Amino acid sequence: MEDSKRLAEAGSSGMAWDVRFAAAMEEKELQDTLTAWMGEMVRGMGKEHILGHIKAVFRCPQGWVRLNFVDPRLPIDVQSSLSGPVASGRMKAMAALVGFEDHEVHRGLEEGTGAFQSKAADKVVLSSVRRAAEILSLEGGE
Amino acid sequence: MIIIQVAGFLGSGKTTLMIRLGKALAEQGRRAVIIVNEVGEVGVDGDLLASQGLQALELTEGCICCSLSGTLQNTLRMVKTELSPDFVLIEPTGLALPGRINGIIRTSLVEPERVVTVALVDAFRAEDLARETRTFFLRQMESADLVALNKVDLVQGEALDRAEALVRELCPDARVVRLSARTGEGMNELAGLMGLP
Repeated sequence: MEDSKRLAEAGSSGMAWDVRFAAAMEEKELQDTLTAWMGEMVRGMGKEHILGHIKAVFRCPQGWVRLNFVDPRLPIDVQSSLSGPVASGRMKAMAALVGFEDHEVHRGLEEGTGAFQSKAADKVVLSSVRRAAEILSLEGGE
Repeated sequence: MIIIQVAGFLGSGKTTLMIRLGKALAEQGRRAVIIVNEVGEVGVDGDLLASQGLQALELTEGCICCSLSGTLQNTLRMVKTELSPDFVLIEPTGLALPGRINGIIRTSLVEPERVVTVALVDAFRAEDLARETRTFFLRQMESADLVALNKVDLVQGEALDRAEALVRELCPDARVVRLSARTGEGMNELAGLMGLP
């Protein structure tokens, strides 16, 4: 059966990171920080016109933050539900974009994250969770 | 068991609609299981759905309309026998073809009472999609029972009329409903057209 991703001429990739903050963040600061991160991911794709979807969810004991980028003409959409300051959590991001190869999408996520990490090195520490099996084992086989 | 498939291109608002549908069914005391598919090896939406208190099964690393078709059939059989929900909500990837998924459901032997397929179209990007991925865009809509023109909270007036005219031009027989999965506008009409209580 023909691969629908190939039919759409799209590429995709996903990554996950364990995230630790130098000082616990309130909701607004966390939203702004994660939005800046996603903005770097968008820039990391290296094209002004992007047709597709870059999405992420940050989960922590205090709740969640959801981020969506669907069009350069619109701001990154952020929603969250948090019960208090956040010191750490896990970020998962996935991108599927028309006109990209899988490795190009992956590189965009990595390069964007690298740029974010450089700019926010004083307040955010990231450690990449590279493989699905590793993610599952860390989440207790969820 | 009723199966509802909410299909649509990348970023069309499928997960937002899933959350709204899942919560509405739960409020009515209906048991719903969501099967969410992500094309990459990292699942994002399953986490989000779970955080909303919804029961979600995440299928990753492929597409249920092609490479994971067998996995979808096995999952549907497991859901029916072990969880016995009133509703199964399927959220394919934004790169899936809903007509294929309907065929996979038909041959899965789960014998649902009814299958409803909704194609979600992002009104804000409808013209871009028709211009840049016309064939794919059309194939995502053509096998749907109804087309929901989503994000009417972002698009109004002539732009919204143009998006609807485009959908009607591409799919002349489609039932079209205007929707904002974000605000809930149009949800009652959509539920009515889907035959939901």
